Amino acid sequence: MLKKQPLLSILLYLLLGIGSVAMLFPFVWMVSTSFKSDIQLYAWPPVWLPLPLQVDNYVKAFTKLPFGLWFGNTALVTILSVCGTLLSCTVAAYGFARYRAPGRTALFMIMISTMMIPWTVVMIPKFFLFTQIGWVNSFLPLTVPTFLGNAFYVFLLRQFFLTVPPDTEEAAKIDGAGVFSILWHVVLPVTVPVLITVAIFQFDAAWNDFLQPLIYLNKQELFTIALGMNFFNGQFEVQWNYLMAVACVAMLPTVILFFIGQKYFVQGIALTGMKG
Amino acid sequence: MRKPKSLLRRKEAWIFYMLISPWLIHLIALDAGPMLASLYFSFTEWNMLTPPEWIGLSNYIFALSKDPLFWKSLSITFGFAVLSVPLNLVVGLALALLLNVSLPGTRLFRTIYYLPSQINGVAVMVMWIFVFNPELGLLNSLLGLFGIQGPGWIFDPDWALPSLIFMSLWSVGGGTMIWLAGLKGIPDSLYESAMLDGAGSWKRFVYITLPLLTPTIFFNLITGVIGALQKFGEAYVMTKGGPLNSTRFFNFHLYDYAFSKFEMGYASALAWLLFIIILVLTLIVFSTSGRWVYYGGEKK
Amino acid sequence: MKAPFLRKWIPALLIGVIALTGCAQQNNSAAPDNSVPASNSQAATESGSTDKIKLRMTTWSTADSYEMQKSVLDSYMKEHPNVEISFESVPQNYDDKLIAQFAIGDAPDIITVGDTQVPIFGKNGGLADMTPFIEGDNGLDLNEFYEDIVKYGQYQGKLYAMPKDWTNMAIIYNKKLFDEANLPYPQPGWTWEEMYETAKKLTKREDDKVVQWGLKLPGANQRRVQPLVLAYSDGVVSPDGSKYEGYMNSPGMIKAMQWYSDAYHKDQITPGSTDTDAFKGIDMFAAGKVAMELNGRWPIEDYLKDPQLEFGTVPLPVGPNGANNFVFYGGWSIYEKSPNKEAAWDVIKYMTSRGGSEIFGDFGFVAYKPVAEEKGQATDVNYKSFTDDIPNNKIMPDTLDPDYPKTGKPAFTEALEKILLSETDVKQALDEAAAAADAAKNK
Repeated sequence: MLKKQPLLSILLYLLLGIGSVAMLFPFVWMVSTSFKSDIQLYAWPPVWLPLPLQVDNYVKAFTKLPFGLWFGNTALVTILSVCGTLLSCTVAAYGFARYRAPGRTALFMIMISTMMIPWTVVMIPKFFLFTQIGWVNSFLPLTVPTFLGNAFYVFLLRQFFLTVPPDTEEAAKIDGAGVFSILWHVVLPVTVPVLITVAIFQFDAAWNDFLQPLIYLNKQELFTIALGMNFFNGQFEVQWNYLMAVACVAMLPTVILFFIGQKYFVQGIALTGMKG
Repeated sequence: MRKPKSLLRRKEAWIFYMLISPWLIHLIALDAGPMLASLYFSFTEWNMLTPPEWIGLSNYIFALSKDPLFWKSLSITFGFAVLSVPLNLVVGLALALLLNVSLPGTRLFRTIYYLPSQINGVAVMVMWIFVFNPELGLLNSLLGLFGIQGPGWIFDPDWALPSLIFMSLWSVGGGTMIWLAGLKGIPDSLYESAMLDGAGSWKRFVYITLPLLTPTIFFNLITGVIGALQKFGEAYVMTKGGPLNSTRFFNFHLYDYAFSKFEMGYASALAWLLFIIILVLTLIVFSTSGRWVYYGGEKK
Repeated sequence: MKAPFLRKWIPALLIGVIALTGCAQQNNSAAPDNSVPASNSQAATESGSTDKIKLRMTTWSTADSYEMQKSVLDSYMKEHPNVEISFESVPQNYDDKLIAQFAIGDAPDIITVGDTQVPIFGKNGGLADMTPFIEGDNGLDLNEFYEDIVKYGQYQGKLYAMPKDWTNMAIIYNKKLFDEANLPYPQPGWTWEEMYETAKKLTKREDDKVVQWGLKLPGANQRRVQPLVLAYSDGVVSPDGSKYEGYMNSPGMIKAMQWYSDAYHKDQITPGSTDTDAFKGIDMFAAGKVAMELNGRWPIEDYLKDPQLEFGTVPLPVGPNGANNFVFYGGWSIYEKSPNKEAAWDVIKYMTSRGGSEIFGDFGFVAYKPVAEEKGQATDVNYKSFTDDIPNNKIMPDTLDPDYPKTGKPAFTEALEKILLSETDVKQALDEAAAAADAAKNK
């Protein structure tokens, strides 16, 4: 932890500030484009502050297409997948971290290796499977697998579980507590930051997922935002202003969630008090 | 009365398998099945319209000896990984350290650095093309102010790959949370006792932070390598492997064969070759991990 | 051993969630179809009160185009209440999803296709031959369509697609910039050489930097370059589609590519590919940065809306090898494995002739002559330059060589990239491309 020295603080703010400009630049462009009229879109040199602001674009973009419905769909799928991920991945990671068994190492390596095969070649067999069991054109292929674990998060959580000293768990076990009770009361409270991380990562992944909804969803009524946005991204012509309007709004939930998540992220430490 | 050790061990094993049972379903139905199917296809010629035709090892032989872009694509992918993975680790950690302080406004800064990882698709592509344009773009205009003649960036075969590395650093803030979670897991008490002993910040970093961060470093290293070797997005959305194949990542090369050239069999063979390479590398890193990764909570 | 409460909950939770998702999904799918969708190829034989024929139709169209087509389908469904059409739009990666659907053997009944896909899908059994339907009881008179457009849906004597809409290319020019340079407007029958010279006169420089270009050329887009290719040579591939050597590097091709190279490097009458990419999303012609552009009819409606832009159109120039053009074609096909081919054919017949083309004809060129003429597509001052060139539409290499995406296309694209990147030996680039294309062909 850095000591609070005013000089260092100023230096820090400066550094972060300069970097921030680079980070924010494209968003300024995005927001600016979302307020442009059709003619201003093609102006060169590019217009940074389009006047008058076409707030109308937002209204038009969201009413032209059923974005309300799509927001709902995306929210449903995302929330379900975050729940599924947290449930299944913490449980599996705990197993890998604390419970020895024959074949554990091999299974762990196999799990890591499932991250190594490119989507292009497994996409079609998966698509075939889901079509055969009739799950295509529904949210099932997007949500049910999240209740069955995910190598990336299991790996991440296992790393963090391994850093927790096992003493408290041993004590609880001697007291006769069951596996899930220990997990819930002893381990998870201490690893809140990584749990929040997993939740935020999966929220982003599900919210912005494009490829899976593209393949598995046929009916427009089921579309998610990531997919629906592309209705403005035509074959020969892109309607930039509407596209940016939607993109800006679509980004808000993930950003707000991240911002709020930070608070609990830090609080998670405070609550556990001193460790070790 | 204590239960015999073998019974305890068996109970432990049972609990293990019970805990991972949901994931096992995933493994069998959604991972192993498709992976084995793709392995089968790698021994066939399949244009996806007519049934696959068994051709044995032909695809593999073609890849290793006759495909003019196989080795080029592999070296591009490796080159990218060798440069971008360490860079991302170092910059990611440095950024996380900066954002770890609890000064007012840190939450806002963290969110700002996190934003780039949220924007994707066509919007990013257009923006970067605008930034990288050799004559009118942002970068070269900035360099021009200092009297430097900027290169062709993504339009120049020699600069395209470095440009993509540069771009990957822009969204490094997306992984900050993982670093922060790792940093937050290090007890303050350790730092405090070290400071009482008179250790300076560099020493504290090297002897406390780094060792206790190794599980996180290990995770980011493995996932970084796996991710870098499978790099696809920018090639697909922006460069299409060009200019002149200088950004033809392996994953894009195989996608191109699958969907543009209708050769899913060959693409599957390429995918498995990539798989083997990634697996070997990962195993190497894993085997060394015993020596440098410190968990602190491991059961011996 | 105590049984932990959570262990019992998790499987229950799982089942509960799956049920919830299933229900929620049903609630979300709006009328008319609210049954849990299974693979629709089995749908036709349900024993229910309705003997409805369920058709799936897929398209890449979005936004207005999608709405337009949907309205036509709705009219059809009103006239045929026993047919239910599910109109699926795939806003991006249309090809990928379609190929994936072919791969698993479950694709929509009616498929929107481009002309480049007709040979590949047709030859390999993805699309049904529509000739029996055309000649059958519920048939069509092909004479009512522009033959030169219909032929883009044909491959080796079989008809795999009926035309949806199409456009070929023409030159759109900025009248104001011509007036400023005191130049007469281009006339039909002009040559590529003449266009080059005109473009030179319209290229303006300020301090060594070009601020206005005479012409916007299609860069490394191998398809859009074809009119130039065919103006000077017999094409990139032999007529039977088997050989590239002698064609892709013929003397005529070398001449055409040298013309192209000079346009970019020697006289810089066209913005470089980097300039064009920077302007991506920005229409350089509309912005007044180029005096002429080689384009299809798509931007014309938007140009008409801009009061500042005074433009005209003229057919593509001619070369020693005559006048040449090609078409961007969209059509509808029937899935080879569809169980409802007759029903699908009936819909396509409606869309492509009177019912559909009346609506589409306001937005694009249609191939159905009666409607095209009614809409004045052949006489409108701006669209005339496109329609007059219909007889000059030539067959693309994709149709001559169904393996083109593996052979000629990547080779030619790479040659174009080399030629555009810097001033290079055109003959050498083309020789290498021909060799690579032949090597891939004979793999």
